[in-house]
Amino acid sequence: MNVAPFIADIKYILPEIILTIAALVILIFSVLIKNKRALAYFSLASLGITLLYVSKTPVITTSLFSGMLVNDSFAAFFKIISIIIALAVILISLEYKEISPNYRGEFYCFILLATTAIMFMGAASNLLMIYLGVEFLSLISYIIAAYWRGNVKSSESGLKYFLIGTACSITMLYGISLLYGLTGSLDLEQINAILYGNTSQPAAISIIILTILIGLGFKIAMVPVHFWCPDVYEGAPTPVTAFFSVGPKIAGFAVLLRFLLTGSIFFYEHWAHLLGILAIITMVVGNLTALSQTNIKRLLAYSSIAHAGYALIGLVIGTHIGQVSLFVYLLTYTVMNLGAFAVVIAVSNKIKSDEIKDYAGLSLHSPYLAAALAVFLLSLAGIPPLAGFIGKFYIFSAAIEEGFITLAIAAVINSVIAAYYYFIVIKTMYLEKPQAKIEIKPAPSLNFALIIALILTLAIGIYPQPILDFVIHTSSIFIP
Amino acid sequence: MFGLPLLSLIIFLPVLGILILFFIPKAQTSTIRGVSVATTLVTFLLSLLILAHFNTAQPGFQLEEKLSWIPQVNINYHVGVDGLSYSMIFLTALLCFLACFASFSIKDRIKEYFIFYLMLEVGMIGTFLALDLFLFYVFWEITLVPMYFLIGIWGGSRKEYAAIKFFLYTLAGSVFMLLGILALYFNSAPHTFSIVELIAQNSLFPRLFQNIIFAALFFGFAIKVPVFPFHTWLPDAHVEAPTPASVLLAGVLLKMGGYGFFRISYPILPEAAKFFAPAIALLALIGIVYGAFVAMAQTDFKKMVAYSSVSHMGFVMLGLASLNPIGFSGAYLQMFNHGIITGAMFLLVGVLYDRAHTRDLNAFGGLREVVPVFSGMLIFFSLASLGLPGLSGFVSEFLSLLGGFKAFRLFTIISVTGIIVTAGYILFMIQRILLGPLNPKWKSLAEINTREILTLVPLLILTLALGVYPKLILDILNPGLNLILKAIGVAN
Repeated sequence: MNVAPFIADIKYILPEIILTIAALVILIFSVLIKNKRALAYFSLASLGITLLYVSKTPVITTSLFSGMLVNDSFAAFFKIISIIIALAVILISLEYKEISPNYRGEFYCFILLATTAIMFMGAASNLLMIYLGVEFLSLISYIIAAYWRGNVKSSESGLKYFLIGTACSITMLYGISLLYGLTGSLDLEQINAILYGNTSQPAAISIIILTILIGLGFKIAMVPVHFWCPDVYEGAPTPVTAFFSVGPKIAGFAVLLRFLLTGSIFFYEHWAHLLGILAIITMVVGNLTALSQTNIKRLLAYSSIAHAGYALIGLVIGTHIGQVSLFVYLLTYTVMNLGAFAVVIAVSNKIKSDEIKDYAGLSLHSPYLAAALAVFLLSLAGIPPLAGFIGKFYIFSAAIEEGFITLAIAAVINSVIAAYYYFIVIKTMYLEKPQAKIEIKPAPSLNFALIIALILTLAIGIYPQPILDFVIHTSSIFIP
Repeated sequence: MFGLPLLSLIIFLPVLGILILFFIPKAQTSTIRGVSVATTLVTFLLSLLILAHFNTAQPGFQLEEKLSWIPQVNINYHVGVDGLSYSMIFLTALLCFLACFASFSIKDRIKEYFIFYLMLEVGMIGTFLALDLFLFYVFWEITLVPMYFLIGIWGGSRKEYAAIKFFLYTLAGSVFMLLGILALYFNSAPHTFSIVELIAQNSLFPRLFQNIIFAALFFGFAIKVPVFPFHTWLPDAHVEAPTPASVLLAGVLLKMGGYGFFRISYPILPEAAKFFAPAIALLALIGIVYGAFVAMAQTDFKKMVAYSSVSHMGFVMLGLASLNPIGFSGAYLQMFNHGIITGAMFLLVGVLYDRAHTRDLNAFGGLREVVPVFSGMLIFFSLASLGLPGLSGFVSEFLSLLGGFKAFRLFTIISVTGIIVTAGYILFMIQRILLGPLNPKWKSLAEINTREILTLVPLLILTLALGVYPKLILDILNPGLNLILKAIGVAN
């Protein structure tokens, strides 16, 4: 066996290797040194280096490791987002009070590993690799969901996540095995070539697509495999929740996109209708359930379910435009959702509560924090000129352009419903009297992440051109 | 002048005011008020400067500015002014300046108040100047958020309910408008959001398409106007809003809806405008008569004025539906006049409420003895509101009815009964507040003060001037209106 090409391919996965080594180093040093802050800085630095490396390396589409991975701009896009998410999550977790400083070292290690997993998922072009990526990410997720030692809700959250997650990934594995049986291959390109024009097994194809949708729908919190989401979000430590709300979600979308649009684009009619209906149900269930929430983490959980529904529209559309709109949506969603969680962490650090009623009168004593949260929530509601509006605008316009009028109408009606619950939080902060004087001064690291998210939310909303250029560039090579 | 981008200046000047306010400590209330007054004053002066550079005889847009904004989808920052938009920004700048003085009665969270207040002004002026539908939509939505807070924080007893109702109603309308705008974009060739280019292409849109898009836009605009039966948010919002917010809500925000019809729906979708004309005339008729009757039944002064808005805005819709030059002039003039007169009425309600802390019409009586100047003002604007000849409201209602009569004889005849009912509720209101024996409770009611008088005087002068010599403003409006009629294909 010739190993030379394998060795040559290693340079393409250098970022993943750097992060894995950094994670292992952190694991060792977290036992040895007392000052866990140094480990945080170390992980930030390694993420920074990786980000620099990924964004500076020109992308030439190449197949790696005998077709296990592919190095293309699509993968690069998800690498960049996942690194940025990890940076943000570590920044906002630095001063988080509920994780005992003794356990923080491992936390950074897990975040780096999870990032590696997401990067592999974005680049995977083989079903085996996809499955490994999904499982890798899932296992780490189960651990960090239960990271709040001694807290019953956190443990419950981890267990729940584990049980449902396992069931879903087994289902997906079954689908993968069926596909292998049908085609004799695990490589997406080869499967594509074999199935091209072959319509003899419609039932089997439908079952395969359904099982994959269940496995990946779990990651993006799509209805009906969403019910883990609120409990896990509520129980997990808030920085972990912040990570869950974006990391696994974009990873799930990356794989779904890759699978549906290269692996089974010829079976578009097999999945588009089903996924369209699921998108509508996801939006409706997410939004309607969010209306009655009293805990901000649960509210954001249901809101993230609804947002998965909007994003799914981009996938259903299926064309290049649909994909661009999905990328734009994921980007804007990531920024504003992380921003919202940064505020939630700042508040819970101080008042030890995530209940919305405890946000009463926040605007009086912490006007800056309240304004920031208001901006993030308005952005999530899709009010211009904020980033979320650009995301929604792109999804709606893609739907109208490609003739998905029903989806567009469902989406706008849902965004009106969603505005109501975002405004419940805004109302509590601005219109209600405070119970006590809460002056919150977020830690510098948290403040930094918050300000960056705020600037991005405003900047993308007011001048979206650079972001759109970036997205159109990264997505142009992928779809024929 | 010196090649200054005057329109961008007037849109974003209040932003500068907001930035300054950010850096003023919230305890320095007089500085905060001073900055806000100065900002709105300079904005108003800028609107006069624009008039000086504006050629009223020339149809089409002037002082245009166009910058590429999102080139990927051909979105431009494109602003321009014509007679229609000029009259609206003049109204906005004037009312914002005057209502700023009325805002002095706000005692709580002043810094936040003026930040939201100025933000509202940005959105309103921007909406009237935008020539790109995307830009229009952005400004349109920007007005929602500050108004939510103005009602929600500084409003009356049911402020939270009123604020969210206002927000959700208008948002629901505007998201359908957004879908309509997107559909226009994708059905134009080349794809464009430019209002000017879309008007030039209006013959390309098939009839069915026009009707669907018209209906989508109608949701957005009709809720704002508000056209019956989409008016139910209005009484709540008006009654609960603080006085300056009510003034701007009635004076400017409702006009955004009417402006949308004139600027977008009618010229871009002429076939649909003709198709829906009878239906709109019918809704206008219901609005006029129903609004007037409901106003008559009110015991809350503010609520009465709010319902009178529903009735008065009905004349705008009637003139619009008539699709002829007279009706159009009447409708547009009615928007302007309603802004002035109802703005003044809300200021007067505020003056009374600040002193008496009640708006119950039946609780007053005989106030003419205690507060003669206030009474004079109230009578003046009430008569303007009921359409007394010689005052501006008469001219516009008359023209609307005249135009309407040409197109929809029966509807217009029935609409006239609305005027009679209007006279009824206005005089009934005057009787209950000013006439009759003095309710001893109000023996020491303070007279309207100089600041309040000064805010009303400019409105009074305008009402009188436009009533006597409406040509002043009609000359500014008509070139723009004629262009729209030409785009619809019904020019004389």
